Parts: sequence; structure tokens; C-alpha cells
Amino acid sequence: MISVSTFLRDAAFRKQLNVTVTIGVMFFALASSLLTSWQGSRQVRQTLQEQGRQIAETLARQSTLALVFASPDNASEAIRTAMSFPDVTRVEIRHLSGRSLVVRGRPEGAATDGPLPDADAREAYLEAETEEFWRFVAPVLSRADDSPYEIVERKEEVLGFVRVEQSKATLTRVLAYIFLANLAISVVFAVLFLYVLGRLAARLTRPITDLSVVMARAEKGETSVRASLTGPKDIRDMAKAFNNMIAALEERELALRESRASYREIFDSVNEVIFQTNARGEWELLNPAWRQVTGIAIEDAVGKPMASLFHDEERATVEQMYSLMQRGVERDCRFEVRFTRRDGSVGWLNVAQHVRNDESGAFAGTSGILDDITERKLAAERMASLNLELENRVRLRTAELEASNRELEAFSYSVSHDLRAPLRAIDGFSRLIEEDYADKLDDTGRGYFARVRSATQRMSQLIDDLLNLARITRATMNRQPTDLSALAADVLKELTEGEPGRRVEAEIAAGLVANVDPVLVRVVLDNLIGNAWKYSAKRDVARIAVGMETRQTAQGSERVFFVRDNGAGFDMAYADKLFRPFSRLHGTNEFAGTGIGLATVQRVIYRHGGRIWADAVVDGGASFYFTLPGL
Amino acid sequence: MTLAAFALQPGHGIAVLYPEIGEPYRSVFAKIIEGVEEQARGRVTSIAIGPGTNTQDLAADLRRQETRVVIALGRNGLKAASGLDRDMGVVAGGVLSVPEAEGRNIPVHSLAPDPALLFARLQALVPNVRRVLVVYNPGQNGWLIRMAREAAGARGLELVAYDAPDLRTALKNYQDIFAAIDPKRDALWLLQDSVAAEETTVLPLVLQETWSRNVALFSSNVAHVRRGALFALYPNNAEIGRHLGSAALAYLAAGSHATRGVTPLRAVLLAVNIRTAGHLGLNLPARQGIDLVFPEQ
Repeated sequence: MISVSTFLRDAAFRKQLNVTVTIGVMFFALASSLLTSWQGSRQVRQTLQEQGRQIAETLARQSTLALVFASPDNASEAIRTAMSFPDVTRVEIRHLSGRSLVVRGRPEGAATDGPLPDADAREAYLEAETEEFWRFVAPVLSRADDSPYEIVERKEEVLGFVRVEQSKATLTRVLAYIFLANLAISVVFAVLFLYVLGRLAARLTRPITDLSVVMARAEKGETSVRASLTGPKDIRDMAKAFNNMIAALEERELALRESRASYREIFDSVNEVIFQTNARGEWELLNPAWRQVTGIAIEDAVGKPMASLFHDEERATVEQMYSLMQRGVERDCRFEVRFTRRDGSVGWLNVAQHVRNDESGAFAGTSGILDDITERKLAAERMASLNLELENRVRLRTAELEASNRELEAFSYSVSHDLRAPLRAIDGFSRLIEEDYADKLDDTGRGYFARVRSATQRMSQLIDDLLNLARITRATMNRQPTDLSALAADVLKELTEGEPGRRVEAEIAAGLVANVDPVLVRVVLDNLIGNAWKYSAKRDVARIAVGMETRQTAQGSERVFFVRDNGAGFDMAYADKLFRPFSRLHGTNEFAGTGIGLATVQRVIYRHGGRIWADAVVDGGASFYFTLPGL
Repeated sequence: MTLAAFALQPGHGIAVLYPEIGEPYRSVFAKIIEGVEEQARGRVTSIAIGPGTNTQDLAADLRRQETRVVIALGRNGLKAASGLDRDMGVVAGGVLSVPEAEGRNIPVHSLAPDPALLFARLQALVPNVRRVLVVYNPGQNGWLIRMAREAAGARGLELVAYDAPDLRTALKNYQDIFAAIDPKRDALWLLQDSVAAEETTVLPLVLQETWSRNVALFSSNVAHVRRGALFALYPNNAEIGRHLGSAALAYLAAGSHATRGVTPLRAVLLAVNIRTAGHLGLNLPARQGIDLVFPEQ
């Protein structure tokens, strides 16, 4: 037997509709028949009971004379009338005491000697009811219409009572008739209704059936199927939606085909090997680049373990990496590994792969790219070899240079030191001649000796500066955070104390700090601020500024320190000579100096990794800029 | 009008106690009250007596009204009046009769037509009548029969009266009457009597028999004419009211009743069934004297 759920699942919509409505309508017909019969039976029952009561009432009214005169003849007409009703089977007229006056009808009346009726009853009532009959009782009263004109209130006098038995045969017959008639009418209407409904359902479901057929064709793979837009609006909407869906599917399929073709083109044309392995670590999918890279046919490789491609010494590493991915420890891995080509030659591959999971999330293998990096690897090896050779050369040259420098420095130092002794002798003897033989010399002779002394002193200063420059070059760097503002203020203070008569307006920006060797940077500031002091000496009011500004460069922002004065300045055409040793842009008779200072400054700045440059206008002042590492 | 709703006005002296009752009786009592008011020129207070009327409250109200005489109408009016102070004058009306002991103390204006008037009208309509037969319940109409004997004698008629204490006797009496009745000289008189003129059993029998035997049947009840009796005298209610008003005014003037006892109805109107008259072959006088004709046309 087919269960309801199976029926609802398997049967067509129209069949379900027909069966459901048929059952419903039949049930409704039966229920309405029963309900109508029940309602009808109630009304018939009430009517028949009312009729019985009326017969009893009428008989009672017409039995007064019979009871008054104790003469059954006086009621014979009334009894005949009562008995003429088809369902009346027995009538009785009895005195108040219960003694019978008249009894007609069925002899086996149950109430012949039954209890006396209710003495207070003033109208007919149902005394008893059986399966076969009702029995009504009505009191026989002498009528007493009360009148307000009479002093004594009239009372009805009970003379006796009548009993009427009424059969239920009519009731039973009518009930059966009502039920059958209702059932017949309901069934006829139900059949008509079902017929009309069937026609209507067929009309309604035809578009659905047509749509279903079109859908089935589409399901079987037929392309370019379209549903016709007929039937009710809902169905038309459904068909329209179906057509749109099919159109969208076709568009997507086309796009997918194009995408696949595009993907295939890339897959087939790239130089890198695109691969896919299965969960057991065997090659599953390979593109044509495989053959170019390895020389092995794709069909020979598919199904073989991935590790079989790689060099014997690399297989353990490759299998270990694959195991990590299988166990979910790693999702991606990238490594460079050697492999063996079909011809036995060894190359290098860059392997990049990531884990693939199936729909349940379990490990399904890997996919990735093999990039033949053999050329690059060989080039890198060659480069490394060249670099090593270069480094060895540099190391050798540096050692030679350092030895040469050391010899040069030692030579310079000893020369400088050795030069000092004859200089001191020249200076000492020149001073003795000036002091002891001054009177023997004329002014020209004294002038010559003065110039000799001046020259020796300058040479002594020159030797000191050279020694200083050499020291700075050799000195060990001791970097630390250094307050440049404080150093600059100290330098200016010493200069002011040396020439207290000068009018100088100095401006030093606060908070100038850098990570430098303070001793070396002091030398820088001594030279730069000293030059500013010196070259502004001819100004009535000299102005010297030490500060910092931030400049934007291609690499970002840069802190640039500066020392600026309003002194003699210089011609920028000769700016490239500024930092050369012994180069001077002014004569010694104009401004004293050895030409070593700025070379020393540049050497210190360079040792800190900084840069230095200058900007000036002749007789318009000069600005020296330099950079130093920050904190 | 209920007692509670009634606004008493002092100084009237006369109050009418009437039963609170539906139609057709309400109109009868209203007409009687109209007659009373007409006679007493509005100096009347009307009080409806219902089932909830408290006699003591009624008495107190009447005292406050300085009522000195009440006109008691119907059974309820009379019952209410019986509970009043003894010095309150009572005039009874709107009843057929009262118990003899009660009727001796107060004037009672009965609704039962005076037999003398009935017999006079009978002789006018049926000139050859010599004997009047009547069945009566002694408790209800004994007083009237006594009065009728005198009236019949005065008019040269023989009155044969059968007393019927119950329905069975009444029917037996009628059977006896019809067994021996002579339509040419006898007439049958129906009273307002719940036993002797019982409507469901007696009346159909009597009407049937008198019709079939061509016996002249007259009645003290106008309803019987509607059903087939030859004629009846019925009350002129407004006139009754005027008589009651006069009696009350007389009491107010004298402080006591001039007459006591039951007075039969003399303010009467005539109702005739012309079909019955035709059946009996009677020549009716001019219709002017007839107040009500049946069958209704």
C-alpha cells in the first residue's frame, strides 16, 4: 500500500490535486448529509412531537363533555379525529382518578394502568418515549376565563386527562428519506463539482505540465530550450524565470568554456610546470612544460611518486616536506631542489606548492608550479665565485694600502718632527740676530729677518696642521649622542675671549644633537665657526649663525646643519677647491690660514658618513652645510 | 398609571382605585374613570392597584391626600379598599356582585344588567314570550335571580330558574331544559356565570341547541351576542362612572351613604344579533335603539 508521504512525493501535481479534492468533497458530501439529516431529524422530531401534543390538547378540549357526562359518545368524534392521524396508535380518556372512559387503538398500550399524570399540569406534555412511540398526556380542564368583574377568582377544574400514543414510524421513514435524499443530492453535486474541477485543473495544470516537459528536456542536456509563456500569470512568471535561468546558465557555460580555453592556453603555453598531485603524493596533472623541463613524457610521469623526479640526495627532503603538508602542519611550502632529467643530467627546480582539500576538508593532494632555475642557479654560483675572488683581491689591496698608509704616516710624522728641529734653529738664530745685531743691520736687513721669522712660524703651523690631519684620519671613532649646540657655544665663547673687542651677533639654535664622536666634531665646529669668525672680521657687526634645517630628498627627509656668516664670502666658481688641502681662496696677507682646516673638516664629516658643501657670494657671506647621522 | 408614578394632589377628597390590567379591561376602567372625573369635575385621584401595591402605603397616601371616599373598581380595587380605614367611605363598581355581607355596608354598582330592563327588552323583541328559563350558580347570581323573580312577575313572565353548583349539574339542567322547551313561548336567559355559562362546554351546547330548536336566547353578556345569542344589554361605562361619581359626591356631602347594597346595572346599551333574529323570524324595530349590531358589518 502506498503511504501518503510516498504519494505526495511521487504523484503528479494534478493527480495529487484530484485525489485530495475528491476525498475532501466526498467527505464534505457525507458530512453535510449527516449534518443536514441530523438537523432535519431534529426539526421533524420537534414537529411530530408538537403535533402529538396538539392532538392530545385538542382531544382534551373535546373530551370535557364526555368526562362531565361520563359518556364516551360525547368524545367519539374527537377520538375518531385523533385516530385519523397516521401515527396515532392509541388514545385514552380517563377520569381524574385514572379510571378509563375510552380506550382506542393498540391494545398493548403500556400506560393502561400506569401512574396518574402530573396533577399540576395545565397543558399537554410528553409523558414517555420509547424506541417505537411517544406518549403524550393532556389534562381535561373546565375552562375558566378570569374576569376582574368577578369578586371570586375563577379556577380551572381538572376533569380528567387524555393520553395519546404516537408512533415513530413516520419519524424513522422521514429520517431515512432525508438522509438518502441529502446524500444523493450531495453526491450528485460532488460529482458535478469534481467534473468541473477536473476540467479546470486540467486547464490550470497544462501550462505546468508543459513547463515540466521543457525542464525535463533541459535536464537531459538539451540546449537552447525555452518554455512558452502561456497560461495563468503565475505560470507565465515561472516560465519566464525558467527562460531567464536557462539563458543565464548558457551565458555562464559560455564564459566557463572561454575561461577554460584561456586557462588551457596558459596551462599549455607557460614555461613553468603546473602540476597537481593526489593524496598519495603521485603526479596527477602536468602541463606540456613538464616535458620541456624534464624530457619525460607526461603519460610516463602521471601516477608515479612525486619524489621520483628529484635527485637521490633530495628525495628525503621532498618527502618530508610533503608529509608535513599531508599532516596539515604546513599549508604552503617553497623550496629549491635538484632534479634529474630523462637524459640523466641534473638541474635545479624552484618548487612552490600548496595543499588541496576535498569537499569534506580532507587532504586531497597538492598543486603548484615547478620553475626551472638551473640557469639562474649556475649564474649565481658563478657570481659567488667572482665575488669571492674580488673580496680576496680587495682584502689584499687593502692590506697593502694600509701598510703603505702606515709607512706614509710614519714618514710624514717623522718628516714633520724632523723638520721642526731646523725650523726651530732658523727661528732661534733669526731671533738672536734681531736682538743682538739689530744695530748692525739697516731697516731692509731687519725686514728680511722679520719675514724669515714669519715664514718659519707659518711653516711650524703648517706642520702642526698636517700632523693634526694625520691624527684625525687615524683616530678611532667613538660615537655617542652629542649636543652640537653646546659645543658650538663653547667654541664661540673661546673665540670671544680671544678677541673681546669685536662686535659679533651670534645665534646658535638649541637642541642640535647627533650620534657622533664629540672630539672629532669639535674639530669640525672649531674650523667652521673659526672661519666664520675670521672672514667676518672686517664687518662692523659680524653675524654668525649655527642651526639646522630639514630638507626633502628622494629617500625622505634629511637633517642639514649649517654655519653661516656675513663675511667676505667667496666666488662659487672655485667652490670645488674649497676642501682640497693647502688650497686657499684668500691670500695669507688678507686672512691668515694654512688651507688644511676645511680638508680636515671634510675628512671628519666623511668618516661619520655625512656630506659637506658650501654656498657663498663674494663679499656677501658664506654658508657651510653638512649632514651627520641622527640619534 | 402606577402608584409610585402618581403625583398626589391634596384636597381632592375622591380617589378611584382601579386594577392595573391589560386590554380589553383597561379601556373599560378608563371609560368609567372618565365618567367619574366628569361627574366630580376633576376632583378625583386615580390610583392603579397592581400586585405589588402595599395597602398600608396606600392608606397612608390617601390620608395625606385627605381622601374621604374611594371608588373601588374591579376585584383588585375592592380588595385594596377593604384594607383601608373604616371611616373612609367606599363606593364599589366595575364588579358583577359582592358577597352579601360586604354588600350590606357599601353601595355596589353591579355590571349585571337589571333583569327588569332585560325582560322589557325581551318582550319588545319577542312579544309572545311567556316564560324565561335560566340556569345559575347560586353563589354568583343568587341575588340577581331574586331580583329577576320580582321583575318577571311584574312583567307577567314566568321565571324558571335552575341552580347549578357545578358544571355537570349545569349541563344536566340544560339537557332537561332542552328536553322540554317550547320555542313559541319560552326564552332562555344566559347569565354572566362561570358555571352556568361555561364557555367551552356549556355555551357551544346551548348555542347549538337554541339555534336548532329556534329558541330565543338572550344574555347579560354582550360576548354571547357575538357568538349567536339574540340580544344582550351591556354597560354604558361612562354613565356608570357618572353614577359612581354622584354616589361619591353624595357621600362627601352627607358624610355617609344614602343607599347601600347591590344595585343592578341600569346604564345599559343594547346589542342585537340580526342573523339570529332573522333565524327566529323576528321583526326588529327601528335600528335606532340598537347600540351594537352583530354580525359586524
